Amino acid sequence: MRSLFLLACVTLALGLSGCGGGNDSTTVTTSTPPTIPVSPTPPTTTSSASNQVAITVNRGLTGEPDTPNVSVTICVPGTTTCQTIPNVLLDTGSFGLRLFSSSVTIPLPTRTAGSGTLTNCAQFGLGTTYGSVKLADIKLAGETASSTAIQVIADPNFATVPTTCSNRGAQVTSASALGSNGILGIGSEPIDCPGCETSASAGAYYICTSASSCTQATAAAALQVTNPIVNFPLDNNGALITLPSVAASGSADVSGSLTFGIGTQTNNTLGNATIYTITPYVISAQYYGTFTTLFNGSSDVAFVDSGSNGLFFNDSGISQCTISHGFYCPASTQSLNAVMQGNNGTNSSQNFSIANAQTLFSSSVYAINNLGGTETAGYFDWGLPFFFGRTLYTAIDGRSTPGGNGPYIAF
Amino acid sequence: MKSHRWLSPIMFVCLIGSPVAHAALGGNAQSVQADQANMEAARTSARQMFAAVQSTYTIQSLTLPSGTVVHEYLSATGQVFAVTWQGSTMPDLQQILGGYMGGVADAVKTYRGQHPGIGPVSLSTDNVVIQAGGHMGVYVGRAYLPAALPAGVALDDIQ
Repeated sequence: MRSLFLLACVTLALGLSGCGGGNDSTTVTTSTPPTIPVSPTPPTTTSSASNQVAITVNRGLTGEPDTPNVSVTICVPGTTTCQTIPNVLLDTGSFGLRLFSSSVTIPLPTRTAGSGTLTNCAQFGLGTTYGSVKLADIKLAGETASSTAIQVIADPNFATVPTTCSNRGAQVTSASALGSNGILGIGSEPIDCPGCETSASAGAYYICTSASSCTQATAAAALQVTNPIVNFPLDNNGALITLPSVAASGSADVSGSLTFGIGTQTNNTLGNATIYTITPYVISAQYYGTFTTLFNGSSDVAFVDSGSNGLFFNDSGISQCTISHGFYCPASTQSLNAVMQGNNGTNSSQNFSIANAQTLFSSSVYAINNLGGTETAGYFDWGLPFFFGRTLYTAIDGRSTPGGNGPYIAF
Repeated sequence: MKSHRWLSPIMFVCLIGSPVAHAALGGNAQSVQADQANMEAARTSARQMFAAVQSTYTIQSLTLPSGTVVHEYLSATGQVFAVTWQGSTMPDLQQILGGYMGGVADAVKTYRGQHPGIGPVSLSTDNVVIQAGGHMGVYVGRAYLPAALPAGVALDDIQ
């Protein structure tokens, strides 16, 4: 009886769905931005490091290894009301700045849209972050991304998480769950949800007319949480991440640099780096930011991701840890090889090692080049271990560089 | 082409009337239809698969409005024993995991207490295994019931 009832209901619902086909989302359009007073022109001290900030990989907030952090300064747009937030996760796998509300002490204006406030739900594997979209001047070394949209996670003014967000993963509401005070997403796309320009169904953007009354919405590119690099006046086509080599036994504390721009200054030339083009959003909405990795006879969808704290791939021949589920715990360190292949045909053989994660986790080392774990078959995640001992370039989709237009990675 | 505001109350009544409609993983064939309706998905294909031993299973493919593809693995006895996803948005996990969602969410929170971050997650609770990875805009993952895998189905078959 219940089954018949269900069948009837589903049939009815499908029928209605077929008749309707539209949705009740609201379209967000860009409104004229408020006039922002022009701040005094800063003295032009163009030192070679004005496009460069420090990266630290150390114990950080929680002691989770391979968590690269930077400090980010935010200001109320057009003012000198600023604060600097340390320990923000540097992530080439996402786009835009996200900060926990508890870390933000200055009064940033909210991003209004239509008749309400724009809120954002970002999805990270099995976790989601939810909060309001606000505007800030983002300052990194001498670079400023003026009046740029950021996500303020767990904003108490919008504490009710829409079910279309909470149903997509466990809510990440604290720095202790993230391991950092926020995420600085500088990957290969300019905005965090290209598909949201035309579709409201991604569960990424909402217009809220009150704290608990939020409707899924499309969001024009100009309204979305934005990769701050694209809003820099100069050095806005990508970035370089440079980290030193670490020993196989790991290191407690290493420092590197994040340099903005590719081929725009004397300190960010491509030099001998080889370019591996990656898929832009316009070519594939389902696989953007990816290239190919050949591993164990499989041709995998691959990406480089400084926000992944290991090398993640499918190899059922390597033992998994019993305590730290998902990480690899081989009895002896495994020497492996994979071929990275750009969409432009460029390829290279990469040797890497996987050591026992449980041993590493108990060794008080936080910069590790041989930490790895499982990934769904057919995917290869080149996380932070890949970044040690090299400079990795990430060029942004559609931006011009001396090596051609992004998106690409190079090293 | 107006709205589907009618849809929600009707589905709500249906869900109240039929608890199985909420359970995809572990649910029956009709729960696949419920998933399709609730996620506004197009059902693109149903493939008959033949495992190494004699059991047969079916893969139902649902394509969400965002383009994300969800596969639901249905055993010959009519139980959904695995779900997978790949695409630019995460699917509605509450919908496709059904009654397993609560346990999975708790396990994720426990895991993030031990390993904070945003990297891939691979978890095993008492009765479900779930893996999720990818990066912003490219999400991939799977969940399955180890005790319900039909004979001859290998884990690498679930993707």
